[in-house]
Amino acid sequence: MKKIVMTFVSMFATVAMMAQTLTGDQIAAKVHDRPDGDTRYCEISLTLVNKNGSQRVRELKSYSKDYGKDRKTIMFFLYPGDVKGTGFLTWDYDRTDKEDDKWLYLPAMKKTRRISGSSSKTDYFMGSDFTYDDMGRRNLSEDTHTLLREESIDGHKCWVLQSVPKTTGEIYTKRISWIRQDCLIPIRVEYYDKLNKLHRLLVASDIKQVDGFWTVGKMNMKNVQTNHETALVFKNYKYNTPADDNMFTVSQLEKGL
Amino acid sequence: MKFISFLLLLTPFVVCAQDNDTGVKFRYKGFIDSYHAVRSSGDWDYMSSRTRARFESGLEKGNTSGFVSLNAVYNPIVSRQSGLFLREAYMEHSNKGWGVKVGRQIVTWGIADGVQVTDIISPMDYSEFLAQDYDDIRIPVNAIRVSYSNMYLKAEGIFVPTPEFYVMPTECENPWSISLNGMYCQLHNNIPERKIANSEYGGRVSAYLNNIDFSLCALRTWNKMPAFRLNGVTSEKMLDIDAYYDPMTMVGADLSTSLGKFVLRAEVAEYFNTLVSTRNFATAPVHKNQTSALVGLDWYPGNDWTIMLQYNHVYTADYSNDLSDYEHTGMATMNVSKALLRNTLKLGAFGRFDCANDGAFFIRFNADYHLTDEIAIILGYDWFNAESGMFAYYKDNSELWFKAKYSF
Repeated sequence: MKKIVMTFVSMFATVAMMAQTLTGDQIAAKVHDRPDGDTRYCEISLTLVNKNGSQRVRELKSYSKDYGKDRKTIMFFLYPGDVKGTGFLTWDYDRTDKEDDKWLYLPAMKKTRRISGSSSKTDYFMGSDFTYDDMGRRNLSEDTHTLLREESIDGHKCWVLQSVPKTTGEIYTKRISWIRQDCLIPIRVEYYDKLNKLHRLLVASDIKQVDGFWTVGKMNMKNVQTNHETALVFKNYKYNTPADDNMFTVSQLEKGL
Repeated sequence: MKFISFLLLLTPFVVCAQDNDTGVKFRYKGFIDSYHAVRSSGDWDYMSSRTRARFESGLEKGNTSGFVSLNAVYNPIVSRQSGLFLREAYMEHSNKGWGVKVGRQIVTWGIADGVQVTDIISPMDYSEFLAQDYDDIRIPVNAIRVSYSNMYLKAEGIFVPTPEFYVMPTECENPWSISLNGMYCQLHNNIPERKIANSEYGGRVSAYLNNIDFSLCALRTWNKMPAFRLNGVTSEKMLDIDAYYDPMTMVGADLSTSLGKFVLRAEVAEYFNTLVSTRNFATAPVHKNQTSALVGLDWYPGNDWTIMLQYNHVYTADYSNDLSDYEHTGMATMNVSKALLRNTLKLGAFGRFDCANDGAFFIRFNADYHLTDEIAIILGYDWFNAESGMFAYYKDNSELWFKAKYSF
C-alpha cells in the first residue's frame, strides 16, 4: 500500500513539475525555434481590404537560409507593375547587439542602396496591416514573456502567452498570443495600443505540414479600430531546397531571381 | 531599327518557350505614361509633352539570361525624341560566382543619390536638364562586364568600346535648349572617333560586410560632359560653339554604413587630367586635376518618412582665374519623401542647392497618387531660382507638370 501511495505521489509530482517547467520565456523560445528547415522558399500574396471592401494586391517571392541562428533572406516584388523587380536583401542576426544588414534594390535606378538596419520595424509593410517587424523574426529578448493560461481554440489546446516589449518605441504595448501546443504556431494574436485597447487582431489558418514542417497557409491581420485588413497567403512553400550562398548577396539582388 | 524589329519578332517565340515548359523563364514588365509640363510664368507655354510606352522583357534559362528594354515615344515638341528606341539589350551568364554581362546596359557605380562622383560610365541625357525622372536621364552604354562575387565581395572589370557622352539640348524647338543673350547654340560636337584606342575600361571592387559597404574603383575614361569653346556668332545669329572631349583617369572610393536609424554615405573621386572650360568659353579648354567628395546622411525616422541629405564639394587643383568654374564649388541635395493613405499617396521633394552661387536652387516637388494598383497620377512642380551658375540658364523654366502612368 505504501509503495502504491509513493508511486502515485511520484507521478503527481512529475506531472506537476512538467506543468511548471514551461515558463513564458520557454514557450516563446519553442515558438521561435520551431523547426522550419535550413532553407525555405515561398510566394506571398498580400490583399489589402479597406472598410469599403475595395482591394489592393501585392505579390512577392522570398528565399531564406539559416546560418546558425542568423538568417539571410532575399525577396522580390512580382506585382504591381510599378514595384515589380524591387528587391530586399536582409541579413538578420540573432545577437541583439549586432545590427541587421539590409539592402534595397531599385530596378528603375539600377541601384542598390544600404538601408538602416533598425528602421522601419514599426512601419507598415507596403501599406498593409503587417509591420516590417511582423513580417520578420522578432528577437526573443526584445519582450518579456508571461504564460497567462491554457485554453482551447477550435479543439486545439493552446498556451496563452503575453509578450510585453522592453522598449517604448513599439506600436503596441502588449500582444497576447494563442499558441497551438501541437505545432507551436500562434493561431491568434491580439495587439494592444498605448491605451490598452485592442488595435489589431491576427488569425492564422490553413495550417498544414509541408515537407514535414508545420506551415501557415494564411494569415489575416485586421485593424479593428479602422476596419482595414490584410490577408497574407503563402503559396508553393518549399523547405530544405538547395540554396547557394551566392543567392543571398548584393550581386544576386541586382541580378534578380 | 532592323535590330529592334528583330527583337520584337522574337517575343512570340519567347512566350511560346515559356508555354512549352522547357525550363525557360520569361518575364516582362513596362508602362505607358503621358507627361505634360507648362511654364509657370509668361505665356504658360508647353515645356514638355510626351507619351511613351516602355516594354522590358527578360528571358532566362539556367545560368544564362537576356534582357531587352524598348521605348516607343511620341514627342510633338522635340521631334528627335519621337520614335522607337532601344534602351537596353544585354546577355548575362553566371556560374560559381563568375559572371559576364555583354550588351547595351546602364552602369551605376557609387552610393551618391542623383549626383555623379564615381558613377560616370553611363552619362546623362540633359535634353530636359534634370526635370525628368532620374532613370530617364541615364544613357546606356555598350559594355562588356566580367565579375566575380562571393558572400562579401564583388569585383568587376568593365570594357566600353564605344563610350557615350552627355546629350545637350541644342534644338531651337526645345524649350530646355540653352540660350545666351537670346541666341541659341550651334554645337560642333567633337565626339571621339570610334576606335579601340578611344575605348573606356576600368574596374571596381566592393565589399559588403556587417554594418559597412565600401568600394574602390579606377577608370580610364573621358570627360563626358563636354568642355566648350565659343568661336563666334554664325550668320543665323547663333553662337558657334565647339564641344571638346579628352581622355582622363578617375580613381575613387565609396562607403556606406548604418548607424541606428541613419545611414552615412561617403564617396570621393580624383579626376586626373580632366578638360575644363575657360571663362565665357573664350579660349580653348585646359586640362586640370579635380577632386570630388560627397558625404550623405539618410534618415529613416519611421512613419514612412525618408530624408536624405548630401553635400558634394569639387576642388580644382592648380587653379587659374580664367576658368569657367570656381576653384571650390559645392552642391547640397535634399530628398524628402513621405507615404500617406497606406502608401497610395507619396509626397516628395528633391532639391539641389548650388552653394557656390548664393540662393541658386532647383527643387522638384511631386505628389504621386495611385488610383489603382496599376494606374497612378502624378502632379509636380519644378522650381528654379538662380541669378548665376548652372541653374541661372533655366531660371525662367519653372514648370507645373502632370503625368499619368499605367504600369504592367
